[in-house]
Amino acid sequence: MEKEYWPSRISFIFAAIGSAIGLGNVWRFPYICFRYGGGAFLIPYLVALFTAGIPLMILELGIGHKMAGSAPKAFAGTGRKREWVGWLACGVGFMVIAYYAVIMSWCLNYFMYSFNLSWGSGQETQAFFHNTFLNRSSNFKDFFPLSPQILAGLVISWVMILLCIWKGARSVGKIVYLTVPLPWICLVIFVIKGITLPGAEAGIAYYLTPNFAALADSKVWLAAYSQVFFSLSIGFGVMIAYASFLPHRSDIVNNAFIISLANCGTSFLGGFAVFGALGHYAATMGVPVAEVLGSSQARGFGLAFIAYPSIISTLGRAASFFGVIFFIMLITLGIDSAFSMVEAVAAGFIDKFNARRLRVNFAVAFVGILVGLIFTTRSGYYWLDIVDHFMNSFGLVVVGLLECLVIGYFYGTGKVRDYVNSKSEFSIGKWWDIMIMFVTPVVLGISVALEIKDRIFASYEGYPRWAEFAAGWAVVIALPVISLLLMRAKERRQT
Amino acid sequence: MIASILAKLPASAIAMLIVTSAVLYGGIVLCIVMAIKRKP
Repeated sequence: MEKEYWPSRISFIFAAIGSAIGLGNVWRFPYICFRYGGGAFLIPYLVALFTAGIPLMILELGIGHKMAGSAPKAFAGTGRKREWVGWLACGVGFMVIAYYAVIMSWCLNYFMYSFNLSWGSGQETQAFFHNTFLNRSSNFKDFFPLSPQILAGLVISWVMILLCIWKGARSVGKIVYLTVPLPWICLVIFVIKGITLPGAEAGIAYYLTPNFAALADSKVWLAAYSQVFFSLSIGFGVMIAYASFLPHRSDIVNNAFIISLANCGTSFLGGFAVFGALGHYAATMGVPVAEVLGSSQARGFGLAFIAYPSIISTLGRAASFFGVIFFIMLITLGIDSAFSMVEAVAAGFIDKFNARRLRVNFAVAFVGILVGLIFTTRSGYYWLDIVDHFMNSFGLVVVGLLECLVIGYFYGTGKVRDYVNSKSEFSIGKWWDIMIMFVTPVVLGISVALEIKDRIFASYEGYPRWAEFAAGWAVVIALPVISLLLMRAKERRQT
Repeated sequence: MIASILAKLPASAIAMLIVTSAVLYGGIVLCIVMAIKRKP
């Protein structure tokens, strides 16, 4: 099979930025910023970016390019018995895409609703999301009926993903010229609209005014490292696979800086759209800004499907226009993150089993839809919430930790550093070794330990223990086992 | 409009805005300039 390459350097940078920038940039970063010291949070955030985010990005791009292969092949290149770390990264990526496609389905449905603002106005948006749209049950055991519109959206999402990665790096390299600038344009429209709404200044003041006392709290620093880590698409094997499609003479370090800075710059910009709009929301609801910012409607699904639709409904004749733009932004933000994860999984199977791309893509989509079915049920919201939490808190963090340990203590940071320096427009020094060997693993290790402690004392969100085990712990335990089995499977060489 | 929003922000908030923008957006510009000037 002929080796694939990116059509140009810009294609690669756009694809990697598109993968890194996702829904979390808009709906997670602003809330975390507000919760952990407002403007003061930006200090640990920038420190975390330069001491963990960018070093890990260099590591993933470096080994992907050096080993010229997907995550399993790259880790097998550091030692045969370490291939499973790469499969684990692919496994986490697969579980994330299984529910990410369902969230994209929600966005597709809301895109249709935005033409006639079906979600209503004010408090009606909450009832519309939970009762009318999700038809959410009150417990985990009420599955049926499946939601036909969410299922249809799920299938459409997968069709879109498959079309984007139809010819691997060649088709991705073209599609990103649309899917990366488009959400940026939408975001700029929302920033301008957000900061010019009545009451927006109160929200923005909350966003930027620093509470320096928060810097003394270790939780703030941990949150900053977590946020940087989650938002850069590290730990899915995506950056490793993408770097493997770079031609031999390609920069690594400068690309890593550009991708990471663009991702965090987008989060920072998105904060203005969100805080401005929430300031306006608080003013129209007649409640204090802090109350809105501290509520579940200031983050995640609450922000995208309850608070923002409610804000959009207040925009008069332009409401539908802004609704359409908002959900186009979410769909295009999500699609390149989604197809990058599928591409990373597919690349693993293509490398190891010499499988045909099309066949692997369809197989991943088929299994992805099957797994995603549970999230289209009446209790799907709860299951999705648990899988999301466990994949972020354990899956990604453990993969990041293992990557640091493998490169830092087994393979040798010097080998990777020398390699990337020989390729790059500027060099990294021994500071990078320190970050990979000590700083990042310590922070990620503490993060996992604290999460285990929390889960021992209480189940996530107070959900039943059996449900937490089925969708959380069981998946976390199964993924390394499957990874080990895939490592032991016989490789099929090209004939 | 932007000036009126900035006028309502405390000095510390404006300082955070400037520093963060300089690091993130200034950093991107610097990297792009370096990519144009120095070919590997």
